[in-house]
Amino acid sequence: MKKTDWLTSDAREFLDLWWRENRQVLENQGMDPDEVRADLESHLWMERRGEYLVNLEEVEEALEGIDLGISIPNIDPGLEIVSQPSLEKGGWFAKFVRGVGKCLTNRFWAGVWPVMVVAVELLTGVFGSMMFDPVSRLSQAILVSLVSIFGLVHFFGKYRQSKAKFLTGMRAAGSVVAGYWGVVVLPVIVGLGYFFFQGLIWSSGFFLLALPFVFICCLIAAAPIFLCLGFLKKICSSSDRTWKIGGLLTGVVILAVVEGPAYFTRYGVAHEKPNLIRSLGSEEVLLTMCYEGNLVRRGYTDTSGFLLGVGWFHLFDFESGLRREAQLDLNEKSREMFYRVTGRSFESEVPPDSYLSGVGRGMAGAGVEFDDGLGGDRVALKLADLDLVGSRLDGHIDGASRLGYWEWTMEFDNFGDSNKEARMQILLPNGGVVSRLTLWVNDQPQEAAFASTAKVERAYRSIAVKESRDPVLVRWVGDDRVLVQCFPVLPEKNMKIRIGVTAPLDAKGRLFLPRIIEQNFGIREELNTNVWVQGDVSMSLEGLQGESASGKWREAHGELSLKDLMARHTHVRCEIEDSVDQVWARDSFSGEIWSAERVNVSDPSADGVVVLVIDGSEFFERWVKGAEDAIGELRRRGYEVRVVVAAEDRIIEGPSSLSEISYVGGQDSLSALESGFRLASSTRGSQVVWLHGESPVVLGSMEPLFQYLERGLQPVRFKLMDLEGGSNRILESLSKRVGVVASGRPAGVEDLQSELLRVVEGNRWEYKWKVTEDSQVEGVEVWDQLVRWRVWQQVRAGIIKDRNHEHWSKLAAKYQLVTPVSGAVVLETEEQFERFGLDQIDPSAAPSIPSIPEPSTGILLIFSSLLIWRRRRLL
Amino acid sequence: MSDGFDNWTVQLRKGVLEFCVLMAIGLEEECYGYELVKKLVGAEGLDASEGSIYPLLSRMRKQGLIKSRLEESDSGPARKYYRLTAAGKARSVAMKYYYDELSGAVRELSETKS
Repeated sequence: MKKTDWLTSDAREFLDLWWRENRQVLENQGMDPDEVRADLESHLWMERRGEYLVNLEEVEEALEGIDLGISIPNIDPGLEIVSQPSLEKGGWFAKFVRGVGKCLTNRFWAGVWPVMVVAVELLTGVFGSMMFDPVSRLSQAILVSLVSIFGLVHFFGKYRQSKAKFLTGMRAAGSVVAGYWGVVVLPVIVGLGYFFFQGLIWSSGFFLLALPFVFICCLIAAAPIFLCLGFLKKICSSSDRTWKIGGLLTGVVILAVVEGPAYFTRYGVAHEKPNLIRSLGSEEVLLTMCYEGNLVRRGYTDTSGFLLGVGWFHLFDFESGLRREAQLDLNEKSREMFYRVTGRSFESEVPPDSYLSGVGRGMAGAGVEFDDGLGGDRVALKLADLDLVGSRLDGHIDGASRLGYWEWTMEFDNFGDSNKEARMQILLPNGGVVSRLTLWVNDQPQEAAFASTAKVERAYRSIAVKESRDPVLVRWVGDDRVLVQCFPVLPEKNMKIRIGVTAPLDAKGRLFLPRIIEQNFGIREELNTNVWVQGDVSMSLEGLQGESASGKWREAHGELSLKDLMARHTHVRCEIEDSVDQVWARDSFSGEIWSAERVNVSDPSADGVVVLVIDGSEFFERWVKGAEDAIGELRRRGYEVRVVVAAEDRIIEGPSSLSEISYVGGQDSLSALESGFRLASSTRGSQVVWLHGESPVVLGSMEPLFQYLERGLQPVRFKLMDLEGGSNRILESLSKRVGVVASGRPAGVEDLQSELLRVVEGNRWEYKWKVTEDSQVEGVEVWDQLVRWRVWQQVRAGIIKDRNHEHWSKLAAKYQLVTPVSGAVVLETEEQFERFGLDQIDPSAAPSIPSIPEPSTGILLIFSSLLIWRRRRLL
Repeated sequence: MSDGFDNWTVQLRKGVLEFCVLMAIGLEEECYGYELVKKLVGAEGLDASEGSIYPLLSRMRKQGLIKSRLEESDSGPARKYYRLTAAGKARSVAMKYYYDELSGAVRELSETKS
């Protein structure tokens, strides 16, 4: 009800005039003029019960009774008083319209309905899961809840007269907030109407049946509009302008605080202003923008996106190819911007809430329902209902050969109702190679077939994606990085795989643990990895509880948090004796005996310019002190160190101090590397060392960098130090295209200086290989991992020099290795292996964790040997 | 009647109206404004109009004699309820005492004369 819609126009004019003329008089006489007017209006309304219009005479009569020396306004005698018809008049249609109107203007819609709608939406997210999320952020949820609850209290509550002005202000603020949401949902109501109208034309019967449903949907969507109108109705009856304006301004300010960051974010993405988003934007909205245009929820967005039209085209079914392309471009820009703003990959984040699959989802985290990365080359979006539920890591270290071997067994559970593909990128120990892959089919372990990358990919895609059977695929994606894919993890079932990794100990006697750096499944916070490592060297690994020794054998075991393992470079530190530098092993694949002599090497002419290219993304903040110390030490040792830092959204060459730089978001390492190579290429013998972390997106073209690496009269040595782990697309491209290898991996900030010195000086150990005869073997016989390691080195070097990869892929496959040119796949049946021309390896030929003899067994063996020896002597 | 008499009755009613309002409100714990006004307007002899009562109520509320609260109504504007404050109750008692004393004196004088 408007304040005067029950007055005739002349009565209203008269009342307004009287009010203007006598307001001051009333105030002077110790009254509250607003209150007196409100009371009089209420009285007049009550007299007529709102059913008839109050006319001029009635107003005059009421005002005449006020005997306060107040003048009655001088009304033009010629003013014609128009007789207003009773609202009750009219035919059945008018009565019907009036009835509907009366029903819709019932305070239930403005008081109870919005609270109901908000409560249901917050509890179930049903509206948000269908079209766009009206309350996608916590701040929105709080604001909307407060306003709707205020609406409820306001409509039903009792309040003191003295609070009337304050309440007017509150209503005004509430009307702004409710009005904003009303404007946001307006297209939905229009869209529903359009949908119904379209239906009427094409198939009237069905859509007439759908009328009640459409009507209810409209009522739901209109909840904020009802609330807004309810507030407006009340504030219109108040004449306190100050409180009204104050309330409206307050509402605008609150709305700006809650919704402003969303619009700043969208502006920042459109105009590539990461700093604006960092300071005024919202990370949550940015993440939402990364998912807008997802194949499943193409129309999905939040309030700001919907208001700006992101979802409208989907709503009105006007989607065109052009529009779709534009949306995908915006997605890509948003995803790139997410990295630039946060320094993290959007794929590593839990997706916005409305992507939740509902009650009964996986325990560890949410994700998308539809997997558009199935069978693809990237880990891609996190899936709902798919969790890693078991993890076991067994390791063996052989001190003589300085090689270690890990077997990582993982189990996945699918809590959903559709097949899921588990994908992850694993960071191997430095210089490591995958040498075994096992999949449990019907509780029976099945070993992999190793073949060229193209061949295993073809088999996997055919069996997994088209036939939905049981393969697992491992392929190389970059130095020390492999991509693992297993499909299908069946609904309500689990899938178990095992990956074997052969790796050398580094120059400091460390063997790093493999770790997941990117995954599309959830990992429970409390999930531990059972680690058991054994060997013939003294070893230590922080966090392992049980340690024991027997003779030369040592073992350590315990539980380590998988989340912790994923967050940093964890390693086993071994105490290696330098006495053994000659080892040999029998090659069971060729029958040859390979002898290896260990030599320590350094880079030649390691005395030129060292250009340190630093990825100054957010993560680097904790490395600053260590990096400054390391640079100082390099300079003390006579190196000319030049520093290039990608930080503060620009490239800083030769900064005076690293600690004065601000490390925020994700930075453009590519441009920094180009600058680094430009500096280094002018001096012979120089080297570029890239201190990097995660680089989930490539901000620009890689070609200029490739040009530096592939051309140039003065070759520049390029070394990479992985400070943090994490996915790194630049490193992947460099490894694939020009065979760049990771040079160092500091275990922590305290290790940075020594590791950087080692990398710059190129200190490492290598094997010199030769085939020998049985009678000429020298040194210590070691396990056959030595043979695999030799072939991995051979293939690695060979594919850079020789572009005929077929030879190298065959060699790698023969020795069961996952390399840049070969992969591993496990299929379900022999027929499948045969169909794709793959040879499944014999389980007995697969590497495994060697058994450590029991002490009693050891003594028995020694005793038996002595007996045999003595018997031979006697004979 | 003469103008002088009319003026006297008007002044007398105006003088007693505040007392009547306090009395009417004090009859119950709380009273609905519209009904209060109807009751006062309907009281014979008091000859009060709505236009005179609402300003008076406003002034009395500002003086702290009465207090009001609003209650939403299914139809129409919020209903206003009045109740006496402690000061209002005290004023009401004092007025009643004085009014009884005054009317007693008037009655006594008139009986003496007759």
